[in-house]
Amino acid sequence: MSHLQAQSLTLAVAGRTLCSALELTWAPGQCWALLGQNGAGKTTLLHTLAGLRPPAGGEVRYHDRPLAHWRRRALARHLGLLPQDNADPFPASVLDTALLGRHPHRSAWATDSATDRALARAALAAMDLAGLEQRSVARLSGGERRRLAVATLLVQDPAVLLLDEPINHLDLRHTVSLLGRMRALADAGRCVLMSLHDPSLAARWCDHVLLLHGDGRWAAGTAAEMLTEENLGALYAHPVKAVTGPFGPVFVPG
Amino acid sequence: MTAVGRPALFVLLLGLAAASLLAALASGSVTLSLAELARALGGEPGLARDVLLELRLPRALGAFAVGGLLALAGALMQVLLGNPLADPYVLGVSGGAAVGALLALLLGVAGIPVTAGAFLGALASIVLVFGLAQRGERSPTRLLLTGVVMAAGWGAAINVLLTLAPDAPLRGMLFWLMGDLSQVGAPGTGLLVLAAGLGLSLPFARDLNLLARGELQAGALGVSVGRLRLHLYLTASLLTAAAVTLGGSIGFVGLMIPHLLRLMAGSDHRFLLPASVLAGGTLLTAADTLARTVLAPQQLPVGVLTALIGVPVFLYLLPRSTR
Repeated sequence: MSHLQAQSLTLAVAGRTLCSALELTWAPGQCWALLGQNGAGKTTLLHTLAGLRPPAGGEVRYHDRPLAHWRRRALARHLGLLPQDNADPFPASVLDTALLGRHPHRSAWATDSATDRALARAALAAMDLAGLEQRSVARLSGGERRRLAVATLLVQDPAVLLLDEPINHLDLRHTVSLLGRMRALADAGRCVLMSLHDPSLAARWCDHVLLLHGDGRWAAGTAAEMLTEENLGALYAHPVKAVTGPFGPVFVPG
Repeated sequence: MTAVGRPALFVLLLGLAAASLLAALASGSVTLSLAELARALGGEPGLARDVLLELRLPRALGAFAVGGLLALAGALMQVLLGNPLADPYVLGVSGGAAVGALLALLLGVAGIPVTAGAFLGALASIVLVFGLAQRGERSPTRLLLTGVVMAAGWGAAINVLLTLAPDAPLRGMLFWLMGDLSQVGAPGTGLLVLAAGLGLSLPFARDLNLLARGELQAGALGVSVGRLRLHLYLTASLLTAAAVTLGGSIGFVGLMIPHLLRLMAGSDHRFLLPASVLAGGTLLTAADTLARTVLAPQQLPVGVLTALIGVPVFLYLLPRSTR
């Protein structure tokens, strides 16, 4: 099965161990939230799971094959990453940027086909960017850029979506719309793992949660098991109160 | 400009390239009309034919090759370093070549030893910069800093050589530094290297589009970033080495041509790489024609002309670009 697995995975940055001996399987149909303080290793974990950074110890496997044994291009058809930031030093249009997502599916010589463009336009429309296809990326707002990056990931259409703070810069409506879309993708058989900073949003849209403490300790389980006042208080080193809202639990900082 | 579209722009560039080559063939101490050009090229023997085939054609094609090499190397270097302000010389290749060439000129030799000195100097710089940039964290910023520092070092060495040089070779040394196509010789080598460079970089044009968005995004979308960067570094450096060896340090072409085309037609490298070759070749051919005719029989350094033509064109187009 197309599971993503961490086997005794250890993450370290500049000699500091952030996460030690992580044993976890991410299965199709699951929507995971990744929670932790700033600098706890959320980005490092996502990059490592995407195969873009060698682990300090252990290994990551996809389809029961270590990531290191995959060809980069083949892997990109299965694993997709939404980076935390997107650099665009060179001028480019919105449509061309979304079309980059087709790269792993097309040969080096292929020009963009009508199908490619249709897929890109559909993804842009899904991210509420219809009508901006010819706009220069440099003239987008922060939130529009973020949605464009998500649209590129949707065009890539991987089985596993790794998202690094996907709702940065998004307004309320687009936040809800994006998280709803990720939930729907998981329900349709994709696997989603996204780092978030709001446990209430995680409780509402995710079924599983991975907590990274940043000192090597980690905890994983269903959202109901993990999202408790006690766990979150320890995770953020700040008291957290749970109240019951109209759509489930809401976590309020003390 | 965006409304024009890439195919139309490409046809326009092809037309301009042909026009610049024709103008280069027609202009000189003896001005030839189009009809005379056609007759001479068609095989009618005479003075016109000798002038064309032995003097003007090699020089025009040589200038075109050097311009194409510089613009292509610049486009590649900008992606490698993730910086639209990068040019072919930013990593010190031309500095190394200049030190090699000036040393040869200082020893009082001319012709092939100068060319060899320039090429060896460029190669030494390529190997040095790459070797030094491999230590520690490998990032575009690290490579850029290493190259910029090496270029500064070469610059100091050039000044030492100029200071110590006796008057006799000094003029030749200064001309070499400003870019000089009078020694460009047979254009075969330059055109061959240009074709090879385009052949080696075009298959990676799609990958370049991704690398231009950052190493992380490129890797996540299936580009083997480490291998591509090595390939880019070697290709861009060797193209620069060839250009500098043939024509000295000619400024402006390698920085502004790719930049200008990015502004006009976006950063799709499947278009940008061949378009840069055409536009770079055209600019340098036109500049060289002016350089040898404006103050004839006096020849101006061609690098001065590339800037004189390029700066106003660029400044005119910059605020009109929609990108």
